[in-house]
Amino acid sequence: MDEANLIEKCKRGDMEAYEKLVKKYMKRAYNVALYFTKEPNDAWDVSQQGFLNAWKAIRRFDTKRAFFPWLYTIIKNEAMKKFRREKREIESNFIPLTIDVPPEKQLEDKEKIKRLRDAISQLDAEKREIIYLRHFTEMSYKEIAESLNIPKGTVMSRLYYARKTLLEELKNV
Amino acid sequence: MSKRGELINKYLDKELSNEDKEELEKIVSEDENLKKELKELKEMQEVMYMLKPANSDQEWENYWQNLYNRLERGIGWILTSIGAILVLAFLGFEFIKDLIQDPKLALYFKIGLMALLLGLIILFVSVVRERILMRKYDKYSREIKR
Repeated sequence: MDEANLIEKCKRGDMEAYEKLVKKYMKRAYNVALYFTKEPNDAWDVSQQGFLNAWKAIRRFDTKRAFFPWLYTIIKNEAMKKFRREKREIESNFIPLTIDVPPEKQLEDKEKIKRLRDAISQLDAEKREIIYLRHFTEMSYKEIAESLNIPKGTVMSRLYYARKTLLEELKNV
Repeated sequence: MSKRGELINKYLDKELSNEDKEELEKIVSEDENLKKELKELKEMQEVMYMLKPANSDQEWENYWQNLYNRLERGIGWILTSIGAILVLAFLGFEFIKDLIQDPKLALYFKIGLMALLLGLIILFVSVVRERILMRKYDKYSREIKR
């Protein structure tokens, strides 16, 4: 069943259809929430609140749009609200990324990965966000464009320059 | 953005068409610096695969159940609220009816009470109307400003 059909069913109150939609996007939603909240427990909570809000608002969702960029906006808004309530600052160069090295990899690789993580945190917010969205939430260029409300061409160019800058940072770390 | 940048992105994201691939190979064969840059970016990309979001191996099978419980609780709260409003409205109505019918109470007190009630009803209707109008818009079509 395609996504538009699933959403139409959700609009009619079909909870099983919503379960399918949630299971399809929960990891990506969690990773988006984690980018903003930095804390795994907060990310779990904010992403779930995002799905709750999406369920409440789904009757007004325009099925011509893709679901995930809409959910991205809801989650980002939810994270902002949480930060405002708790009077916390959302901007931080801390990137919640862990090093996942297969056992056969050597210490040298661990060092390389650690340097890369440090280099990502040195990027400015715009570049860091696009790298994170592309690599760790696996969003397509089109989804990123819709989520950030920018043209696809801007996504491509921002991503290209972010990668180049990251490469330079990596050489300097 | 230059065609070159676009091709590099697509190459790194494994989204090159056959036509793009030929074009990139042609450009790379003529530019040693680009060849070096591509190699470095590719190596960086491979290292990137060994990074992952913190705690992304959560107990995902509980995610839906947890969310479903929250949804169900939401419905429970709505029904409880509706029930509480109806019961309180009935009790309030009975209480006020008794007060109004009480001949010992002064007329100005009764008028004040009626005005207070009317004011509360107007406020309530106004809030409900605003909420209904707001529901017509998709409030998630844009994000909150940073």
